[in-house]
Amino acid sequence: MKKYQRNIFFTGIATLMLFASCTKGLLDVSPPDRLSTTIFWKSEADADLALTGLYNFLYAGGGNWANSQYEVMGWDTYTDDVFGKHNYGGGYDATSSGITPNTGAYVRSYYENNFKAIAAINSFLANVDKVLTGDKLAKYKGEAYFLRAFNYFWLAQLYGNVPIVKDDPFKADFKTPMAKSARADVLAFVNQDLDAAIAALPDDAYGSGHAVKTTAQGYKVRALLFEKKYPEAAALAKQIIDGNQYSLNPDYAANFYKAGQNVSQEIMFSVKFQLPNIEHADAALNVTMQTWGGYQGTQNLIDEYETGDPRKSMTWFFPGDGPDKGWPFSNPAVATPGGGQDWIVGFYLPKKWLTAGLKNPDYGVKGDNDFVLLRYADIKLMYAEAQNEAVGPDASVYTQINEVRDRPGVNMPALPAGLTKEQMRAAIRHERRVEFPLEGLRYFDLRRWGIATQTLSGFAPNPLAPNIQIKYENKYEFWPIPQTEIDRNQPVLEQNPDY
Amino acid sequence: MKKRSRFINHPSMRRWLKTIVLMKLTVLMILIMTLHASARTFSQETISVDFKKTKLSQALKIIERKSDYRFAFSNQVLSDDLTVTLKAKDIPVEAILKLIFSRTGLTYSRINDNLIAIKGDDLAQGIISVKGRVTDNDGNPLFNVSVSAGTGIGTTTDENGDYSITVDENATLSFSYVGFVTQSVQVNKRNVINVILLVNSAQLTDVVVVGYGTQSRRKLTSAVATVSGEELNKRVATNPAALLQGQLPGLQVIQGSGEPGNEGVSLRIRGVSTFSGAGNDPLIIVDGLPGSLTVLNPNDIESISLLKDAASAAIYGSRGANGVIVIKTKKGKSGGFSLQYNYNLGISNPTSIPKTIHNSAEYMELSNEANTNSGRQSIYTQAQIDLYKNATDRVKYPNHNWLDDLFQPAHTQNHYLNLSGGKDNTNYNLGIGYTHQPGTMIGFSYKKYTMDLGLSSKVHKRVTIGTNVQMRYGNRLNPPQGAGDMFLSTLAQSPLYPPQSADGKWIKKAYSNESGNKNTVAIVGEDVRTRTDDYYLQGNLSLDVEVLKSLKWETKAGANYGTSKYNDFRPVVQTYYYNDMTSAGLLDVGTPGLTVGRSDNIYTVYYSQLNFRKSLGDHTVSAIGGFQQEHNEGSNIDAWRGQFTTNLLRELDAGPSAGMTNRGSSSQWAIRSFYGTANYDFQDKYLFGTSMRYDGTSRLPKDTRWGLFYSFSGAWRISNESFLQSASWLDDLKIRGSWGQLGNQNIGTYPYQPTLSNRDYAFGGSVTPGYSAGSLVDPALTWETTRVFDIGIDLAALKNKFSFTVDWFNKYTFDILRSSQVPLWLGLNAPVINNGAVRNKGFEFSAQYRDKIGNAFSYYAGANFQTYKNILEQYGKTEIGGRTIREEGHPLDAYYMYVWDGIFQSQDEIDKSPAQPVTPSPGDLKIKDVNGDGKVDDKDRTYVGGKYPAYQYTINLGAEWKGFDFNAQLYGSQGQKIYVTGWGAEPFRQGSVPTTDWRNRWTPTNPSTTMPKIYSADGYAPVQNYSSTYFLKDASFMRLKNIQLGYTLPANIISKAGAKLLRVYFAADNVLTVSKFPGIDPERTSDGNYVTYPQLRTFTFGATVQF
Repeated sequence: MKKYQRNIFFTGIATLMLFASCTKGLLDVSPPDRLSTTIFWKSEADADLALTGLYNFLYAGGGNWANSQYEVMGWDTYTDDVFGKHNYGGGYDATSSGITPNTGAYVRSYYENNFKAIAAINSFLANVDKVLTGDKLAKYKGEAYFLRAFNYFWLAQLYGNVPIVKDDPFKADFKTPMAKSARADVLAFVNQDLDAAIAALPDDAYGSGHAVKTTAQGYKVRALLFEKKYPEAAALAKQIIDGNQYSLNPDYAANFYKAGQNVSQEIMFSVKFQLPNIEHADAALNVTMQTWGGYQGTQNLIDEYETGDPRKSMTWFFPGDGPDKGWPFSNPAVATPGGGQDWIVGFYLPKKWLTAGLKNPDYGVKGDNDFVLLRYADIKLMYAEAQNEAVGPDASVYTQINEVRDRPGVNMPALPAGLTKEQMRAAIRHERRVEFPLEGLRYFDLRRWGIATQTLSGFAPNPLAPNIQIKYENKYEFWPIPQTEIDRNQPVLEQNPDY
Repeated sequence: MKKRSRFINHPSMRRWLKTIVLMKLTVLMILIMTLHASARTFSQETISVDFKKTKLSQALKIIERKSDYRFAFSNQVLSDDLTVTLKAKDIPVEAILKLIFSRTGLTYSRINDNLIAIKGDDLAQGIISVKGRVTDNDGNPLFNVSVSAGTGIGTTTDENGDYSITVDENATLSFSYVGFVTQSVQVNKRNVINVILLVNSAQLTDVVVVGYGTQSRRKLTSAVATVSGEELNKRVATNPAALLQGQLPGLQVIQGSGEPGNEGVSLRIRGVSTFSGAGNDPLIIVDGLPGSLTVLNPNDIESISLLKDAASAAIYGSRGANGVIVIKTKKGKSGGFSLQYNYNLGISNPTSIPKTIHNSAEYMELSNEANTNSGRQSIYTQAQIDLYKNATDRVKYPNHNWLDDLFQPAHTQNHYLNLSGGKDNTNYNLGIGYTHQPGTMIGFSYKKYTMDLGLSSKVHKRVTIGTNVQMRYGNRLNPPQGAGDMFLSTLAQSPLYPPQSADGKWIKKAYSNESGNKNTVAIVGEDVRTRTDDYYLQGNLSLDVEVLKSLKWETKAGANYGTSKYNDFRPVVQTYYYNDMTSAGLLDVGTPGLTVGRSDNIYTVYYSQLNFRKSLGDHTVSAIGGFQQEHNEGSNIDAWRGQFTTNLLRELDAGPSAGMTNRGSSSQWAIRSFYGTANYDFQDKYLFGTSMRYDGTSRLPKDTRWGLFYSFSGAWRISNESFLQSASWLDDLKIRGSWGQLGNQNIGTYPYQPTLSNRDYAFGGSVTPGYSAGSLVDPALTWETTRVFDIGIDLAALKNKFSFTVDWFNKYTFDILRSSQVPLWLGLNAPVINNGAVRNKGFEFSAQYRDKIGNAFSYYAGANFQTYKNILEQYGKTEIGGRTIREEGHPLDAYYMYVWDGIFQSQDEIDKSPAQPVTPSPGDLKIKDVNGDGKVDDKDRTYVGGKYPAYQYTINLGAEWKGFDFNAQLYGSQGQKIYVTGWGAEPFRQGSVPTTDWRNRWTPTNPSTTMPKIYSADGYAPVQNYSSTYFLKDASFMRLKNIQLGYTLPANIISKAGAKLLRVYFAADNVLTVSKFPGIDPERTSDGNYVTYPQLRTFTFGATVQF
């Protein structure tokens, strides 16, 4: 028995030793590749990191096929300008099936993207004064205000009535449902933030990617025009023009590929990309647009160009184009853009956004062309539109629109004198359509002008296939709030009308 | 382990014997006093009995049940007329026996410690001495086999399996051994009789492997199903998980595909109990420690237990919620060396592939019709159609069936070598396996090398050390986009062109305006394949110390180490248009370049426990208490370089450094646990069990990371009650119940820790680092908990020929770890919280009958059945997905969609019907106005059953006759529906070939009510814009899963060659399937794309030889 007792004793000792050998912190592990929030907002450098983080939301994906709402060409597939064969950005889906609160991808993603950016901005604004002071603090806050206005303006344009959130999301009571605010209130908030940004931001030309004063001013012109506040819009646009920070690019096409964008004096805001690390989410634009025919111009748009308008051939390829016209393909079968490859007969392949000199774009080509969100030409045409609506077609209206028409390399003749206000309005609408294809403006222009339904409903993108028609209803002026958001904010959040 | 007697039935003459009427207790007591001295030399075991005119044979059976004694006798000796009346309390068995036999005219003799042979009073003439050896199927000697002759004489085999007995020269010897089929042999004046006993798999499981130990089946109070390795290996498959199908009631096994090395086997114990990322995968325990099932070679498996209720799984605490699969690998057996070699060759083909229209002219006409119907431009001109229609040159204008290119018969080879044995207290088992499995789909291949080493040595009379190690090296080749993409891309090739021109150019399409997808034959031809090498090792060391007879100390330490390396090269390959052989751009390989990466995982674990077992009179107590600690660290790293200048070099350094990228990370988790179980039984009649585990996990915050999991169970062996003791047909009847709760913490590694997301931006031509916090976390996060209530009945009857088990369960999972439903305006990622509950109720049963007809023919038949019902009991706001819904009170992720209601036959019918969501035309789908409001909209979506099978069943049949053995398994699943779309299911998705069904499509002259007019599935709103039951297909099936026919050559023939055993066999898998599922195999894991890697029909030829 003694032996057994000894055995038990040793067993016990050995067991205890095993227990004791357990490292004390075994269960305390933390992610080795991510920073904890607890160490953030301690130094000035954190403000830089956080500010950069806010701009990163411009890369947000979530349309269809990983597209971003800021991949602007996608928006033209919602219109009579472009047929979106592959449903990039959701245009094909929206125009064939219509938009419902349960539509996945774009209806929900864009709403979510904007609110995610807004949350980050609100968190930034709630914390940045912990680490910054003085001018630097003012400038950083100015950028944040601009970005918040930018995001709310998107929400106002798309959904109209949305909840307004201004405070630190980490302290928000998210269990209490929130009602939406009227579009007018959302826009008032946008203007308020833009004013704060304009006051704080440096009066430089846009360049690095950071918003500057003129960027905020340009967006305010858009917002004012959207609200039909024509005198104010005209005045502010004039202020930008008089500031002389920008000029029209003598090479229209150079605004749309990286090398040209780097030196363009015309770009006032854009989403910046940089190879090799930050490239477009799907394949490069050069492949999706040209090789895969992701966006194809309609006959209706081509017919819109005036005879001799060089922007037509700067934006689209035509049957017979060869390398001399910038046609990138050298394979004999696709030596000319006549409906080969993935291209549909009766449509036109885009030249805009194609990197100059690129040969045979195909799998493996990467791209970092910036998505241009605001051009100086737009300021000029917005001035013309606002002034024409506010005062009528005075000389300054002619000056601005003609400068765009007569820009180097385009050299279109001046508009005939003596146009009525309505004729000038039509001329400006025409000019916008031929100046900005594939830049994501037309969908919002048509809605802003109140002619979206009459222009789009029943429109057949391809005359060769008249059965394929665009679906557009009046209620789309206010996109539906995603059903999940309605569900989670019951009963106070009401759906937009007619859904 | 308690052994049982075998009753030998000889329906011959009967012997008349007097009734024994035996005395009262007082008399007994006196006798006991007198017997005391002699009884001391025997067992001291005491029992209580109460016989009232009980048949003597029955009385002996009861004594066996209550004691360690066993009896050998024949029914000739023990006539039914012989009865006994005796009441005794706590009397030594020996004394009782003396009392019983004193007046019967019978004598008995002790053969060994516990075995008693009962003899008649007359000895026959012509007595001879017989000796021989008893071995199992594998040639291993069997020790302690009971050998008895019809005259009531018996003996047992020794450690070498040898016996000798003196019997009548015409007697019949009966050999019986627990777990083996009893065999009778006529002596026929022979002096040497060697016998091979065959395993009786129903009884092999008399001892069941459970969590942290074993338990005798009759003492089980929990729901455990088991299968032996022998049973498992009646089918031939390379992945052991696939072999579990139909073997264990309560376990749903779906093999997702037939892709070599990537079978995607889904294991679900008793339904889907959570919607969280924590998942529904059961915990896999290999040789006592968490490990991998797929890493094993099926031949190395000794047994598998399925722990499906709380009582059995609670000892695994925080990881037991989805049930536990406990695997024991082979250990050596003592008694000499044995070498076994198995070889088999399997020839596989897809069970079924869709029948497609690959006549080019017909394809072109249908394509034009579909495009016209869909409001799209036609692709082919009449002139082009005529070229194909009237062609004489079928090289230039082929009718190419691409599916013939995609599939090929695959020859799978398995080699398996096993060396095992034992000597001087050391047992060993070494299994080495090699499998080469090419795909039936081109481009896929898997080679697997496995090694299993089991070693144990009794280094001291109280100390045993052992080890079990499994190693696997796997080498897998697969096209990088996977099998589904290969299949659908192939369907998306038109029949107008072959994959390759006569001069070796890869073809993209015939005409540039055709739709299409990648040329899959070119993908394989250019070797665009991911190479994955994985090395996996799991092993453990164990130390068992017998501290006292009743107290054992067991310690085990193990580690699993896995490394997976892959090389994914995407070359630049030119393609051409077949009509004019002009260039058609590059083959779609994704982005050209090379990705090389590896991931490593190391997991360490150890436990140390004390096992206690003690019997005191009617009371038996056993208990386990232990401590366990686990730690896991995983890391991965990969690197990419873009388009290489050559396709010949496939390493990173051969590629351009410009634009190269890399990434890597690591993560870890740990668990520390205290656990214990206790079992108590009274008279082996009333059984109680409890187990508990106290777990702390790194995945949860400090304050909530420790959780207690526990279970209680009880069983009543009714067959031990006196009122059933006279029911001689009944061998065992037990009712049991259990209740307990288990945890699941498997959600992310750091779900409670607030972290910053990396958010860079490209300012001014360079990338600037950025961060933001984007997620809420719940600092009070805790476990997901599953509560299981189980009631079961186990029954064995008709001399153990019939066995039956039934279980009813109610499994409730709550505090489900899931993303909170935060409003979108908050702009933050939802925190992981504890919320939501799912209940599964169901039952399962299994029954088996085995018997013999005559001496040579034996057979068995078994059936398993399982069914369950799933309800989402608590969720929050209803969420509707594309075709499913999560709503409280309904099955989790139930189908929720529009109801298809026929085909519109005319414009008139359309006009009279409720307004459809998309303007239809005649020949389009008609959608039902479910709520009757005159228009079809979102509100007309409705619940459709079929998300989960109504029931599943298996029928196993087998027979043996003179060396031949036959087994068959029938497996079925009823009531499940699968939603499938796209290539194959729908016509002309990316130009894909339509199935021949479309010949019966709706046209104005063929008013089909089942098939709409043909359309182009690249976007046809009236069919595709909403999920409807049109795409929901009945996936019920019944299939002859496996049949096997084997022949074991007579021992006297093969022994000349020195072999102990030689068996040849033929097996066929997925032989026959009955199903309404259209075109392809109904056995699949998920909705979505119609085509996946097909299931295989395999014919296997094999041989096993043993020396």
